[in-house]
Amino acid sequence: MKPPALSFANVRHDYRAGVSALDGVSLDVAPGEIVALLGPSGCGKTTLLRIGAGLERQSAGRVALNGVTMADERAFAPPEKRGVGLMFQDYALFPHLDVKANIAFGLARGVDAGPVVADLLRRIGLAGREHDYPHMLSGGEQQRVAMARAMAPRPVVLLMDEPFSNLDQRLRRGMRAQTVELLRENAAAAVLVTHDPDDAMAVADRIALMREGRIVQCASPEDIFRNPVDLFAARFFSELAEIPAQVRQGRAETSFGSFAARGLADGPALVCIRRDAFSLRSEEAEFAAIVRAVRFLGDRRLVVLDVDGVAEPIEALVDARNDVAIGEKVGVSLDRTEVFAFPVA
Amino acid sequence: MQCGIGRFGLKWDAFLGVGAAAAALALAPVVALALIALRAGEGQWRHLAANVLPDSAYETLVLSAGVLAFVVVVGTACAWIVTAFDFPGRRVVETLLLLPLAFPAYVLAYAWLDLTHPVGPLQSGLRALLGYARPSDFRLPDLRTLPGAMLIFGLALYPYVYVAARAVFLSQMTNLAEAARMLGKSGATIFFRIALPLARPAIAAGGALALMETLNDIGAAEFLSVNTLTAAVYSTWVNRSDLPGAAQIALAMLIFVLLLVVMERMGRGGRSYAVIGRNMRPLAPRRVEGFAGLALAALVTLPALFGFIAPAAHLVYQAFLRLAHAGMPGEILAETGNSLLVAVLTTLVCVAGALMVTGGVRLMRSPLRRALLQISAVGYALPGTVLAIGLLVVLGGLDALVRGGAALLGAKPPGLLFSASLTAIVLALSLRFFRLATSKIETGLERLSPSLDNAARTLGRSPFAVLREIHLPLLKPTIAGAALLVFVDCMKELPATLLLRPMNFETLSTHLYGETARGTYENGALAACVIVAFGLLPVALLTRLGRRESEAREERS
Repeated sequence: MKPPALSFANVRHDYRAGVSALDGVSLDVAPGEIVALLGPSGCGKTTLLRIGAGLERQSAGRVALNGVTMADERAFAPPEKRGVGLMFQDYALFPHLDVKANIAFGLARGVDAGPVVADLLRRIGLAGREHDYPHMLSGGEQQRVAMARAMAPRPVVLLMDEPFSNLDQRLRRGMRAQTVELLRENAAAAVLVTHDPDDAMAVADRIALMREGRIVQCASPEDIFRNPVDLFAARFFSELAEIPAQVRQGRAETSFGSFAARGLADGPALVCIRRDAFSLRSEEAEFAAIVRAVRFLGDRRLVVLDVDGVAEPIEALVDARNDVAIGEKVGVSLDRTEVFAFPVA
Repeated sequence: MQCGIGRFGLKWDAFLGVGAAAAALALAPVVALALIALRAGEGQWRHLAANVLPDSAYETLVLSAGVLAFVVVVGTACAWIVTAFDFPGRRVVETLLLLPLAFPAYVLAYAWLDLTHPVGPLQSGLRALLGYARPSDFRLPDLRTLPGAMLIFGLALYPYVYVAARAVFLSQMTNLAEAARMLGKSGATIFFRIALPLARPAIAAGGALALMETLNDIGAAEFLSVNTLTAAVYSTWVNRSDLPGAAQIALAMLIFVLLLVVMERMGRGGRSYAVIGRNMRPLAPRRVEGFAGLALAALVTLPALFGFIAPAAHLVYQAFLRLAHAGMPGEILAETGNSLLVAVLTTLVCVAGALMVTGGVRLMRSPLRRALLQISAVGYALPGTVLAIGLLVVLGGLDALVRGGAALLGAKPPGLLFSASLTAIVLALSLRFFRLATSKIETGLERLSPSLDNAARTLGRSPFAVLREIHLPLLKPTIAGAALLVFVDCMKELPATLLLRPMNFETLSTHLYGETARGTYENGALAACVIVAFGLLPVALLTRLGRRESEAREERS
């Protein structure tokens, strides 16, 4: 079996004694795999990326590329000796070099840069722009050139730090698709850091969700979305209505129904309902609610519901064609795959 | 986010080597001073403490206090007037006020002494005007007194405060001043309650630099008959050949210097000093029309008139007379050549060294490298005489070693290889002006995104290659600016050059010193003109920056 393209084994990083940015992280990235490091700011995801690139040296643990140790307690390979590509949040295009010289910067001496650069430019849709300077490019073009530059030397793994954060919403969607396509064509392994779950879901084969220097959960986008391991993981991907409940014999009981709560001990718990779980005016209604407020959002309609026995109003996102009136009493049913029970934190 | 690589152990490389060498060289003179001063017999110290130090210390203190008061009041007032009021000719005056920067204090002293000589143009003209026949009937008060010296130093040095205060007034206080206006406060209140407190750190820093220059000066004080500590160091060594004694006075001076460094540091708050702001929205100045406007314009032109226009015009006229009378003296060309040689060599040393040391700090960030950078820059605070005496001790020791070695080998002992040589001058000036280069280049580097370095590293470049391929091309204008500053300061430098030059090695500044010390003023005008002409170069740069900023201002409005 081929060794992982990039492997972190038990990596720790302490900025100062007692302040750790990474608290024992292990992660293997297979050749050709795209992994997203996802988490709120300060969770250590960028630090992990910099340790992988060799821009930072970990306090403990091992980093390996294609099975070869790059950094552990004894050895440390500086970034220029690793053959890792890194794409920066601000792109870091060299302002004094034109597009061609930027992309060719990492190529070995003696390699004819012309064809390599031309091929990459064609693939990122910037054919013929060799002699433009970075300031002449739009934000999206700069992003693509930065990516081409990082990929030109055919790195073992491409690391990307918030690759889409400087692009506006509209541009973002296109760039995500193009990035995946480019990565697949090159069969390069990639790790991208992002705080945006949409970026992660759109691009990654696997998502490593991080919090406070640890990986909380690492799974495919669908798996991590369907089966969040804890309240934090569930909250990170969508907004939740969190309703206090009591667990009795594996069921979480609320005033409006009981839900599966496998593995939870008897006692207080939270039932978490995604806003997409609701169907209104359902044939087989499970409980009744009164519409408190309605807001039209274009493709969806946000309905705020008062439910008997629940103190806080609950928000539901329903089909926009589903028009309801304020004060109306509606029958509600729930999609059980979007309802989770977690112990009270 | 930081750049560079953390957690390296102590790994030796070229960056660290240059940094360590620069720091060691910077510390050597200070350590040597302390050692030699300790070695001297107690008798000498008693004599110095009783007879030399009290007078010199007193005169230095009084002079410093007077200069400080002058530069703070004049510098701040001018800066405020040209930023808060709009009067006829404001743009021109704004620039004129910078011009005295081109005059080293000793050249200004020389020019004014010649100008106000009893049979000079000013007094003769006044006598003719007032109907007096002979010089003994009417005399202006003598410039060669403490108040006279305060005036000359003040005129030469107020731009340090002017530049610093103006930068603050232009860049940092617009919103606050507008808020104060909206709250119903008027000009005077805004100045005293907002502008002055905000600018106080910058004013303190500018004042500290002006005082450092005062302590550094050797020519002007002597021409103006003020017995400063610097003059005492110089005469103790040159006239009495008493190196330990000179070292002791020099050490005493370091206490003054230390106070100034603290004052400047606190003022700067760790930032580089003359940052003329970018992207700023200046205060909308208040229009002053008619007679009041003209009066204001005349008032703020005075410092420029006495600090630059009158003395410069006199020097040019004298130089012209001299040229018409005797043609171009050959020695001026040779001396200009010597000055250029010293300045170019020093500039190369400073810029190359500064690039390595600051680049090393950025690329391999480590506390050790940062500390070395700071140590290597201490020379900026050392008065030229103190630095020169310290270097004389170090280099004299080296020469003694060489002679001893030669004697041991039975060879003919060579002359002094280091003590009085071009190398010694270049070394002294490099130590003194190293910080000019490092602080400029550091500021330039700070403007480059750290990810540029990291990008180049992950694309296979070593730290040195990053310096060569990324920093160097991107910093070209910064490096040129740093080189210009160092170069011009070298052209103007007098005290260290005077003490360390080899026999018969004259530069423009030592020539001028010699002529003035001999009282043959008329022969110095040409050298003075050349020095001032070079001094105008960085002023031109400053005003160009100023223009760019005011153009941007107009575009926005």
